[in-house]
Amino acid sequence: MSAGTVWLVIALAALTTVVTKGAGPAATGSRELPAPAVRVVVLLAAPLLTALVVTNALADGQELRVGADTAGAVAAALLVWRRAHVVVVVVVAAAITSFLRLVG
Amino acid sequence: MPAPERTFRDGARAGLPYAGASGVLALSFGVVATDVGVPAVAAIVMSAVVFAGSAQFASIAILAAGGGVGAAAAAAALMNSRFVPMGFAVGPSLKGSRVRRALEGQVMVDSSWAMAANGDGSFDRRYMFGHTAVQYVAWVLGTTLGVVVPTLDARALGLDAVFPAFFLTILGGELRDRHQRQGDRTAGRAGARRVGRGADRAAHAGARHRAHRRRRTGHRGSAVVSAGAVVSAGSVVRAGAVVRTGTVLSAGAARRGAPS
Repeated sequence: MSAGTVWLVIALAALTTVVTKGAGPAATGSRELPAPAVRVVVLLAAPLLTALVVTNALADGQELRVGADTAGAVAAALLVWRRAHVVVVVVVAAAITSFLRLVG
Repeated sequence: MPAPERTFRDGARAGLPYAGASGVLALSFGVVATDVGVPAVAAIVMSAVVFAGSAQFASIAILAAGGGVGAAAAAAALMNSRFVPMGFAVGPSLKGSRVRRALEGQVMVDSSWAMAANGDGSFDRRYMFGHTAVQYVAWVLGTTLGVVVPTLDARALGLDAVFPAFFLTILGGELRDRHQRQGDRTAGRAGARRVGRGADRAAHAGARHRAHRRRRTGHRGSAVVSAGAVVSAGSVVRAGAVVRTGTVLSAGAARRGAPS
């Protein structure tokens, strides 16, 4: 990726953060977002996250394949299911991946 | 009788454990970002001006996978979309003109938003500022540490598994929360009581308040509140959903297996 691309994405990400964080407080006063609008917004995250989990767990450079990081991601999924703290999940996933690469 | 408003200092103190978690994640972000080709300065600047872990990880992951600027920026925007309902919830508790409220809203992050909630629809803004402030420092410092430590081999350290692991924790919170939204109107209070194990007292009390509020206000209130649960890095906003999920799973197991 080129440096220009990276800086452009940073600028756009910063912009969307400012806009999304500022929109509610700028609009409120005493009003609330209509319930249907809230439901739609809330629904957006899960499909995107699922896609990111799957592609990242299988990505290896430009290929998709099962590797050590896939095992780490599976362990992470189990820990999330067991309601482990985010730091524990992240560290264990990395440790398992690292260990499998060390011995594999 | 309303409790006294919690101060900036209270928020900063309560935010420290979350700052620790943020620091670890930020360090991972710094290492992984530079590893996939993001310039070191760009990674630090991104943490300083975006300051939204999921948006940063998502957009960089897409760039690293060969995605374009549009896809990367769209992913960041989608990740941040949760701030819209969160902002509507916190807006009335901020101060001043619309512009000033929008600026104060920039301070909102998941855990500070969730813990600043009083349970009656209001938020302690100074507490939220303090809670966020310590996390901001940890986020930028952690990223800096991640990019300046030159000998880290992200692949050997297994840090490419950090992306999916981090997203899984967010997804887990989201799915539990949705389960709650679809779910019953009785599990909330008991769930909030039991989920406090391991969480600090403030978070526990917050969850209980929110569970109450969900029960009182029905779907609309719960949708706004639960938007914040999507990415809370920790055990804050779990409330009744956790226990209910466990109940459903064990009930299912019982039906499949042992006679009961």
